Amino acid sequence: MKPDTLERLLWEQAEGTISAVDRSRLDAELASDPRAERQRRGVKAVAELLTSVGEVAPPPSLQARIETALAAMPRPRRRFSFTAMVNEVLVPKWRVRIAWAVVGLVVGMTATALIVADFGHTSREDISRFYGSMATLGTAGSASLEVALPDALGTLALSARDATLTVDLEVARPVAGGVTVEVAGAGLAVVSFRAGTASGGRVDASADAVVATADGAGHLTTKIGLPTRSGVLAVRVAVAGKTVVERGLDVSSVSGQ
Amino acid sequence: MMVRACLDGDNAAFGSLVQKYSGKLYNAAYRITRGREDAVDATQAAFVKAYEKLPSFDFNHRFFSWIYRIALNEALDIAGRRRREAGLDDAPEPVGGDIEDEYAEVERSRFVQRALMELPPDGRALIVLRHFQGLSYGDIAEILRVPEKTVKSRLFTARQRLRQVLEERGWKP
Repeated sequence: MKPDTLERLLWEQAEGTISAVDRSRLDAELASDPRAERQRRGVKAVAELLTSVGEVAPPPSLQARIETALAAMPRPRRRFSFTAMVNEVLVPKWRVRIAWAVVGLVVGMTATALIVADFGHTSREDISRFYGSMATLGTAGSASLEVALPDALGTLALSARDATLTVDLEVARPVAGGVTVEVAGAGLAVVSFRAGTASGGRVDASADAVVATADGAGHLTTKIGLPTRSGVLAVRVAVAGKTVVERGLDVSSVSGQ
Repeated sequence: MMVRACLDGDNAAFGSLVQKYSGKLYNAAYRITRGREDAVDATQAAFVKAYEKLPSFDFNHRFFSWIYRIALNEALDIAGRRRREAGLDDAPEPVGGDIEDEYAEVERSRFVQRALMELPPDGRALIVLRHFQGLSYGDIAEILRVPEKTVKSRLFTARQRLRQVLEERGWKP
């Protein structure tokens, strides 16, 4: 063990601040090296010498003398500087509390901003959003659901009567690439299709989906025959190939089919 | 709290601080300077300076460490002045034949004091704060505004030097 390390550990031992690991190291060193033991006695003696020197009693007049000197001085006044105020407020014990308060404030303000921003949406859209991707069309044989397309592009209205699902797509302005409504489900059949758009529209049916496309502004109405009383249809609206609305449609509760 | 009360016009508040710290500061100053009168001067000067500077007190620090820091600086100033005034007369005392007497109860304090005066000022201050004032390494670091590690390493050097001085003066463990 280096002499400096030995002395440091001896002082730590004398002060009672030595760790268990260091104590073991020191004990091993003391047991093996007689010079270390001599050094231990030296450190211990200095520590004891310093401890044996007691406090000195201050002169009885000390406090009075200080107070007399202070009495002749102008009384200190609080300085209303911004820095002093910040220093006083930002004492360590307050820093954590202030940080939490700021975090709380930010979270609260963000939540408020989100709620306020939501006021711009129609209640119908809020309801469809609230219920998530699953919409149920009525319980008494007919029902409807209307979803606003983003950017005021138009609306999609779904209504069911008996075994027929009517899909009304209203497109407010022409979009390059067209607006497409796809209803996916097994056994669907196109009952009728009407395109009231300036540049026309079309409908395609396959084994598991019916796809109606509006090429310009206007109105498309597609009536689709539902083969069964149960199951979930997927309804998707895409603008220029990009999906903007997607809903699940539970047909089981549509009565009168 | 006391500092705020004092700044708010409560005169008695600073009196309480004087009462609480004057004895401790006097003892520290006594070990750093040459004697009682210098210790009184250093203690008084520390409180006067603190009173004067109270409006600029940084509440990020504790009053305890602030007043200790001021008092240490005052004591070291006075000690330095005395050393310059004393010149050659202030040289360490030669090892004499009356060392045995110095171990006596009454003389021990003076013997240690003389050894302390041969340490560099910062080393002396560290020994005083740690061994005579019983302050923790953390408190000393706060007073001196240096890292705790620095306190430990400087104290190590100061203790080594003190032991050497004591042995030069004929002290045997």
